[in-house]
Amino acid sequence: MSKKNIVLKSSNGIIFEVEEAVALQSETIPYMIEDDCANDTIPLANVTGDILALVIEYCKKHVVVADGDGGGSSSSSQEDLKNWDAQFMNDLDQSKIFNLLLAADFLNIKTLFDLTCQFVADTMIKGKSVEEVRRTLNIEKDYTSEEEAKARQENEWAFK
Amino acid sequence: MSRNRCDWSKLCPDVCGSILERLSAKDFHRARTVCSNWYSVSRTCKLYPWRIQFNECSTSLFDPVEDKKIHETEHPGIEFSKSYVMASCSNWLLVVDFLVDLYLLNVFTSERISVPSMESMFLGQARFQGEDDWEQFIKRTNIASFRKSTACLWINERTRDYVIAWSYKEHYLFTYKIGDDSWCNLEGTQCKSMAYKNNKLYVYTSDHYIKTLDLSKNSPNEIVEGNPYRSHRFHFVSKPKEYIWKKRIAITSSGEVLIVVSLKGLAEKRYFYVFKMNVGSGNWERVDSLGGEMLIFGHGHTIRAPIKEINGEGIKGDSICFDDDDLMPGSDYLSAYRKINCGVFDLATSTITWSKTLDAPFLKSSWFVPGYDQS
Repeated sequence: MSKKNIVLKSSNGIIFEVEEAVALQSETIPYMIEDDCANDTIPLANVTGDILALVIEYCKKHVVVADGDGGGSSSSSQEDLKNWDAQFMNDLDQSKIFNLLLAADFLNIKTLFDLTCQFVADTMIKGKSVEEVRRTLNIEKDYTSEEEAKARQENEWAFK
Repeated sequence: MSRNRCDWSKLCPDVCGSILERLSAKDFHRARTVCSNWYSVSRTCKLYPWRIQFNECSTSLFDPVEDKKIHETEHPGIEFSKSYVMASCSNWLLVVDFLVDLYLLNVFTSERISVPSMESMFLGQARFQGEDDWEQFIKRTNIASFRKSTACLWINERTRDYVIAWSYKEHYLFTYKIGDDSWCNLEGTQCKSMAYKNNKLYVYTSDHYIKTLDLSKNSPNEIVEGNPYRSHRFHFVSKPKEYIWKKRIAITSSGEVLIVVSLKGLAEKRYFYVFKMNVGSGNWERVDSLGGEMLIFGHGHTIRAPIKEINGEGIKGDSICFDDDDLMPGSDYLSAYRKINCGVFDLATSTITWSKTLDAPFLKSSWFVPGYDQS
């Protein structure tokens, strides 16, 4: 029996054909299939081709392959997957991480969303001063020094 | 949506909150001040609990996520052995001392906020019946009698607005809101337990109903319309050899009222039950989940569980943090070797994880939520 494939189209018109099991790690895609059953191609207006390629790479790695005995088994051991995830995130620049986070949220892929959030928290915020976080993430301070002092005062202990 | 620029300050609240909630409390409280958007998102984030240990004149605070860091605070002029902590909210404790003075104490800075004295109740409108002399009242009152009282505190860290409610001998219910001239006394409320959320005080009465009081106006008044809990009595039949020790109410994030019961059963097993009212039938039904949240027994509201379970502390979703007073005393109660401790009860498995404690002796240990900043 041939496996069913699903065709995804990125916002900039790039076509990806993937196995159904890979695409269905997204909880958003099944709704799009139902809504748009006449059309074979699922357009993802919020995700560009380079980001969609990353999402698919992640989903392929994490797809649970049904083996011949009918039971489910993971395609890799848990430990291998963890290492793979760490390497996968480490290879990305900040703009890719940002857009991957939005794509994981939009496509509702919980494990990828959790992975990305945790990576941002651990590598871009954890242990850093407020100034360092602003510099790392290129965030402008958008309130007055007075307001900032007031906000800081609420939990002064966290700044020591 | 622009794909080329990444503006971390404009992340949608759900995504931003999901990142912030993965931080330790210390990182969280710093990160929320990065920009105004993160700050406003952080106010909807739920925070996990810390443990507080009371020594004679100081407190030790433990962040379970960073278990090697302990925040020690000296509290000059306070003797915790002669005081009683009636309630806590965010970084503040509501303390009553042996002179029956009430005040708020910041656990990180030792700053105090004084609260109008209870003596003023004798002079003002909120009088104790048949207790016309303050001196006499003090003589007859000691810290032990406050252990039987229940109280709740709400404070806004930013504006320092606060609300205190405490009930004495179930008969008196006193409330004080910053800006009030004096305490209000809602005599005859029959309060056994209470919880405060969004200007409302939820009271579990000794005849097992839940009253809701609106505290947003000058004087508290009962909300009768649209309170589904008012006419449905809480009823729970315990099994033989099962004894109820304490009942407390708590409000979930979505505003549902829970009744949490501490019990002792066969072979001295101590456990908790959680009940929720089925709004359709009006029946109180036992539930074995808090929808992924957790709560501190007696604190009146559910809190966030850490995303990952914390090593060996048992702090996770669908669990209840408790301290020594929350469990019915066992047969070792009077033993000199009994260790006073707090722990976490797992609703799914009905098991207790006791907290790791330092070897040095301490007076009492309980839970609080640092920087809890919600209305």
